[in-house]
Amino acid sequence: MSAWRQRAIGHLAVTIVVAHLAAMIWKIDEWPLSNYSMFSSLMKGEVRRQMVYGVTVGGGERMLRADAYFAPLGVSKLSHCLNVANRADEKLKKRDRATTDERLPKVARSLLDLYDDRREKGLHHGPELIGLRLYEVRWRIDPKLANLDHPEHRKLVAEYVVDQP
Amino acid sequence: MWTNGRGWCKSFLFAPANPAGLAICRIWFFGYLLYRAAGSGLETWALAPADLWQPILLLGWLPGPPRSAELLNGVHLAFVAAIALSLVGLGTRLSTKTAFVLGIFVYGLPNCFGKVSHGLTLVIFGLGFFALARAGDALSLDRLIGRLRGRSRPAPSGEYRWPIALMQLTMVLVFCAAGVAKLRTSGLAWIYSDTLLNYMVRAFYVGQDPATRLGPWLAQFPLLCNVLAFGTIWCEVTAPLALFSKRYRWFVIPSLFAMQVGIDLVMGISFHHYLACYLFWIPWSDLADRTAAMWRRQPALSPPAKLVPSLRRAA
Repeated sequence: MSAWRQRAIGHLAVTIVVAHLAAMIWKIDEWPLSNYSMFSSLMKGEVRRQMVYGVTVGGGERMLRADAYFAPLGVSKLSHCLNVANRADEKLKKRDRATTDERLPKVARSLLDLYDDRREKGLHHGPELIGLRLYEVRWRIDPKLANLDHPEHRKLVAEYVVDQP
Repeated sequence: MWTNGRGWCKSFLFAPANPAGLAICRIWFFGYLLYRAAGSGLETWALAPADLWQPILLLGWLPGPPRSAELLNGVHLAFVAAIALSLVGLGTRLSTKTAFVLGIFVYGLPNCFGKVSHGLTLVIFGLGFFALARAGDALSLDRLIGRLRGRSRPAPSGEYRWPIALMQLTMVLVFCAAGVAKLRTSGLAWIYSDTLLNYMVRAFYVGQDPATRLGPWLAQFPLLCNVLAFGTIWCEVTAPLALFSKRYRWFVIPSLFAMQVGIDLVMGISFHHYLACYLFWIPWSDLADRTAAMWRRQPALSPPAKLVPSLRRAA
């Protein structure tokens, strides 16, 4: 193995160590480099999530908690995405109260299209929907999981419902 | 001490190794990637909501979310072909480089929609190392073609050691970073509070769909959860010691493996690609050397010398 190649590989090794140390110190999260801070914060006995509810033809609501509904976005990833979009919308509203440029209603519409498309293709067996509502949901953690379908608190964040004739 | 440090680094990265060791890692790594990639397509991302598009730095050059399912399908197929060629070792230098470049796109794209996931970071580093390595010098079609052309067998070299060493280095850095992040964000409270217990139950609320109900069951024993939390942070933070101590390696690497399997079972967060990378800790090169030595001793299995004259006499 030539000396210059050994030097180059040695520099690569040093770069990898320095990059990871920098990511740890400055909390860099730039894929594929990361500080791997997931699950690092303290978790109290409460869960807050952005959840998607479907509006059924009869007007009822149903929590959509299966990955197949919005694949390739799974429920967990989708909830995180909605949270990010919600925070961006809130910032926008603070700056301009009359804004019509919010992302979440558009996201709700795209998600309904995705849901319908997958339903038509037989990729899930969810109910027929006429709209989607995005809620911020809060549960108190119960190890017996008795309240799984009944969150203590729900706050409507955005919705998209198709106009019925 | 400086000389010792340099000597250790040199031996860690460039100790002469049997090319078969790296070749086994190549076959396992790309075989596993092929198995995972063949079962999942990329075209579904064409339908992901464009309003959630937040490209990562490496894919910042894309003008927007790719909307063509055919294009995504084509890229995915090219990626599958590149990893298949890397697996069999045909045009290995080119195919591993192609797999790396396409891998950034294929594995990076899902991270451009709102949330960055870390399940594939180690794989990207691995693809990068193989792209620079001479991984096709043994157990490959390239080697077979070389033999037919009369090329001699490659001798043990540091070339076959450094990609494995860098993979091990990256792996322990990843775990160390995760442990440091927990201590930095929450301190020791991460261990003695109900944090781990709550995370285990939370998985059911947020749709992570764990395969078992071990989480709620473990939540009945808060003290056990504290012990598990301590074990998690201990193994993560001290993971780099595995590079220096062979004995400690035997403890910490299987523990981290068990931890990741446990996370999958309890919290429904899978680290399949990480689990595949644990194979880099098996000393394949030494095993290949021993196998070769056994093979060379094989003539001893032929009739013992004492028997030969009697056989001759009988003839």
